[in-house]
Amino acid sequence: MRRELKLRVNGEDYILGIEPHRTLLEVIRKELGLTGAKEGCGGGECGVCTVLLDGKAVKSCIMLAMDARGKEIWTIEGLARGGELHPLQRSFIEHGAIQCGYCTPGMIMSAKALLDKKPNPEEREIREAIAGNFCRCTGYLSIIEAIQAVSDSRKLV
Amino acid sequence: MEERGFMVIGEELPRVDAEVKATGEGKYVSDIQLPGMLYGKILRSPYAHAKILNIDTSRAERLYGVRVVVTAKDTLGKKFCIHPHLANNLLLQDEKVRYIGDQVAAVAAIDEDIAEEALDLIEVEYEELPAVFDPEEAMKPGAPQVHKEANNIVLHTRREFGDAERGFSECDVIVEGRFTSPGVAHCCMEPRGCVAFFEFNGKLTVWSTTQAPHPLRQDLADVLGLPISKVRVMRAHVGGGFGARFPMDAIDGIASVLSMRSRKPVRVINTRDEEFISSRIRYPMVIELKTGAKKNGRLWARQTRVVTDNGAYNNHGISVTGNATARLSQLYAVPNIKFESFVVYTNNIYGGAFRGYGNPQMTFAMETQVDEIAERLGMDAAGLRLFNANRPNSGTVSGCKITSCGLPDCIEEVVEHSGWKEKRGKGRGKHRGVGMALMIHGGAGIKAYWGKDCNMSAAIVKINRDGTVDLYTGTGEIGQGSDTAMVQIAAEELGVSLRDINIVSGDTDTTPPCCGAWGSRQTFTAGNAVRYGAADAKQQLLRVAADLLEARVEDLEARNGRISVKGSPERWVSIAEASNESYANRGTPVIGRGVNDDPWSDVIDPKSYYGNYNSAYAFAAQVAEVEVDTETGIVRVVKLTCAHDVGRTINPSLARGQVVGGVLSMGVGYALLENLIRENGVVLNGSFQDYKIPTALDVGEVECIFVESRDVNGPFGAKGIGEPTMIPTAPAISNAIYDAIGVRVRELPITPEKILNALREKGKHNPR
Amino acid sequence: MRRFELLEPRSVGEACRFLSEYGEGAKLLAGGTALVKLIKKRLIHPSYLVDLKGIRELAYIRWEEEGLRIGALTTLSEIEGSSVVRGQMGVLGEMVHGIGSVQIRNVGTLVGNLCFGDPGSDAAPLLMVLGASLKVASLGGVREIPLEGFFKDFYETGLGEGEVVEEIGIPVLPERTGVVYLRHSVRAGFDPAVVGVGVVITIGGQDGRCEEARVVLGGVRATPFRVEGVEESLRGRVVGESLIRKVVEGALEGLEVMQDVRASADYRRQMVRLYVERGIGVAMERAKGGRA
Repeated sequence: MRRELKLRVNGEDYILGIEPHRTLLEVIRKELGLTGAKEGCGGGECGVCTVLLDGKAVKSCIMLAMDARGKEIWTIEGLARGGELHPLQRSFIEHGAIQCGYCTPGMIMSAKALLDKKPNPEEREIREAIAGNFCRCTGYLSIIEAIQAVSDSRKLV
Repeated sequence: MEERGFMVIGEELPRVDAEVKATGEGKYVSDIQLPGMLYGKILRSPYAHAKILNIDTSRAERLYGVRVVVTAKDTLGKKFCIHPHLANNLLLQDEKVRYIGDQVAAVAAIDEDIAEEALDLIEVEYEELPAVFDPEEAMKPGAPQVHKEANNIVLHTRREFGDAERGFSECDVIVEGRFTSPGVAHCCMEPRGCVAFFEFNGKLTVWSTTQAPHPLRQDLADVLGLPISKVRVMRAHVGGGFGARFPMDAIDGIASVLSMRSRKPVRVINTRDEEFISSRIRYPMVIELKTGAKKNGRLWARQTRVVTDNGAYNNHGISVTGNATARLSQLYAVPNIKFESFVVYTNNIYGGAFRGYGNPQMTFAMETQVDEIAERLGMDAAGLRLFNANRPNSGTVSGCKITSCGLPDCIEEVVEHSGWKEKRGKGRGKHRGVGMALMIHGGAGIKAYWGKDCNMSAAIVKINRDGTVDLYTGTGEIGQGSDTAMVQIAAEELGVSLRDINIVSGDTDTTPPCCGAWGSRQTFTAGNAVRYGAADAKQQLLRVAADLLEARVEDLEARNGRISVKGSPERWVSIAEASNESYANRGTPVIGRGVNDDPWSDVIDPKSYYGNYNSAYAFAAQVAEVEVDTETGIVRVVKLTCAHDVGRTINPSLARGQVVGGVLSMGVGYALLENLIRENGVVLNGSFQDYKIPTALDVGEVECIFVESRDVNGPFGAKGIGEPTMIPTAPAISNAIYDAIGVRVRELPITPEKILNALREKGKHNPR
Repeated sequence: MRRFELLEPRSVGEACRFLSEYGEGAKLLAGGTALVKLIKKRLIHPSYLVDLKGIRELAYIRWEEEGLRIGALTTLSEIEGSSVVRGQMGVLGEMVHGIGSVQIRNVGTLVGNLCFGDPGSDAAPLLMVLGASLKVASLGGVREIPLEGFFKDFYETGLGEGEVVEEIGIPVLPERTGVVYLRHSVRAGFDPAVVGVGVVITIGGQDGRCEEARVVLGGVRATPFRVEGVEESLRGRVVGESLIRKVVEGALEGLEVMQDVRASADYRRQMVRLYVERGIGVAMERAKGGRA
């Protein structure tokens, strides 16, 4: 039985008719065409499905779409504004933190959740923030550097 | 090679595909949506070995939403394998299943949930057969027969170079040991999958997670009985490869069959569970190795017996084993080599290509024994290696022709940067230690086990009338950055900027053939093709420019968007002007053609194993610094110092990505954490929770040094790096563990439990 | 995923009614990090999910005279970040910090973790050693279930059909008590515990002898359990390093532990010895330092 679901994603409102067993990941990918968040393990382990729910990083592949009602959802597609990349996106590019790119959207969202809450984290805190985002390509160091660089650049302001 | 400042070679330029990946715009196979698309699922065998007596698909077919159900009878029954003469795998099994996870049937339905439900409705009648899971057991008489080969042996090889018996008799120290390497899963973040669309005009279009689009095109045409021109493999971004997607996977063929039967686009993607149970694992090997040296430190003889668990079907087993044994005579050019190898069927998952291709397994054994020999001789492990290291323009007893070789420099760099002299042998009190390992691998692909068609690459370079460039290559961009490297090579050759080049890669309808991303080959092999193509286009432009400038072609050069007279830079035309002249006033488009037929490596004679294995050889040295917690057995890899001979660094950022990723995301995992645990053919730890790959909390520091040995045949001197990065890591770590706590573990992964057991054993023999 | 209907009760009472109406076909959904995964992997097939998240009154952290009371819907992140928890029962925040990853903690609940019954749960042995109990509601009324005895087997607890956990209560610890939770896993984060040890030690008298000792082991059997042998050997004694070693060796001799894909029995036993020793030591220090 489809039920009405109002979602607010990347600042836009959507009214959808969704069956309750659909996950948030499925709905944002299929109904909203936002394919940045991916399915990598189907069990909330690898983190490539990470999106922000009221500013907190969550694994959308194990969250029911219905449970995202009334929350502010942000995905990777919501980061670049008016053709300008978000500082995290630019930093990932500059630091060579992207290889196959499959983990990138989830990784950037986890980083954003951290920096929005704690603009100048310690290295340990950066590692903990992305401990639930696996990467098989980069070895993580360039990712940590990229996040650190954004944090450092904000220190100067 | 002229020495002049490069414009873009050696620059840390951002990847050409970075933005679409950073914004989430880039489309991967699972992002592809086509009108009317169906979703496919594969029914897999629950038995390790069984006869298929009957398959009844009627209930599944009647389920609402199901469009087609296919079994073996819906295919041509053509067997496939990268070694065609050994092919015994089918897209869907007809008579027998031979491992848990084997493909039996497939469904296409209007959504994934329905497809999943339909699988449950397919009734398969099996007659279970006795199964065998250990290769040594499988070789014994009376063991269950997996295929028709006697004793389940795919290939038994015996080779000798030099004279092993005499060689060992001349040695002053000999060490022997048994080393094991487990099944390891690629764990690409993107599971394998395919969208296939067979249209009414008989054309099949496929978006696949493949690493090798042109070989996949060929394989699909073969297995589906289609003319090659009727098969198109399209580009999508690929979420990692590491060998998992090379070349055709059954999933590509199955998606195609589903589409051919339903006449709709069909998408089939593995779940992560399926990725684990049908992983094309690194071939598990048991290696018994004996190494001998003279008292001056010269490594003089090696002998080995290797048993490879081939798994249920033929894939890369014989070539991975061949590659492993080939390196015996190559690393340090040891002159007396004897090896015997068995590639054996079992009812386990069958293996595949995996970064290093047998070399990590063998290097773990070889480099551990080099340390043991150094200890016995009382020599410094770095000094012994330097003494024995391969040199440029040298050979091996197996017929290899080494051109560029930066191995001695690699050793010196890691000694300097790792603090080797201050740390080696000094950290026992704190359970800290450093260990070194070297490696030799191909840096240019290989055609040793196949034919002349297996290492070619071609490129087409079209200059547009405004001076911008379209570059067409058949390469596979799987995240390693090959698109960027090819663009940099073309830009350098043509004298244009990166921004002016549009690369079209991997789409088989629009690009010329290339054998794809494997064997660390693309920078060298495809890079050369791109360079030749760019040079050809450039020549055409130079001829036009020569007319415009009233100069001789030989006196012109192309740089920074201009074609100018050497020595008189004030006489120039822009590349755009020259191109426009060709189009507008001569009616001639500028199209360059580059073909690299790899004239330097040999198709190895399978009887003698003699020949030049690779067109260029990659070398590396790594030093691991570890700290061992002797109460829990946990090893912390504090730092890895890595020096890689890449010939010439095309893009240091990309190269660094290969090193850091190779050692931290994979090498450390291979050494300490990863083991796909199987019991009676059942995968016991098929999830990210229990199959342990490193997380951001598990990785330490890496220092990266690039040695540029300027290979005479590489594009601008460059060689490959993709695989080399993880080849020496495990032995560097295990040698460091020995330096730290005096125990050696020869079974990978070196788990905390094995460390504690080894310490206990040592306590027994050396009571305090 | 197989289809199911989502029921959204507004109160605990309504939730109990739904459970009673739909019986075995209904499952409770809190954060869902464990449940949704099980449904996706086709290990369970509920026809109805009773989604508790609409009952916002169930999300709270309160410190009262008797102790800490945490509502069933309180997420692990909320516990980790709570100044009340940090001030009154820091060991709880420490333990929660090591669970899973940030994303899981943002959604998963403490009560949900306990009700899932994973043998490698970190929450189970610590909450058990702290003497926590669950306040459980059903159509028949409300009852208290002490955590000790709550865990029955792998993924099986004493939560009855038709019952909904409302909160978990952790009693205030007596003066001069030290608590610690230590865990062992191979990877630095992310892994379930191969061995988890919760220790509570209360000291008394002039010489600071051990008046009360509770030691709970998790991750080594299907369910967490108290190691009475160790507890008895500590009670009434002045606890120093050599005593700890003797006690631990003696009491853990031949301890039955499980063998699974996460670790062998032999390795587990070695880690049990190591971490129980360490745990007692730390708990003693904390008891002397007057910190919980």
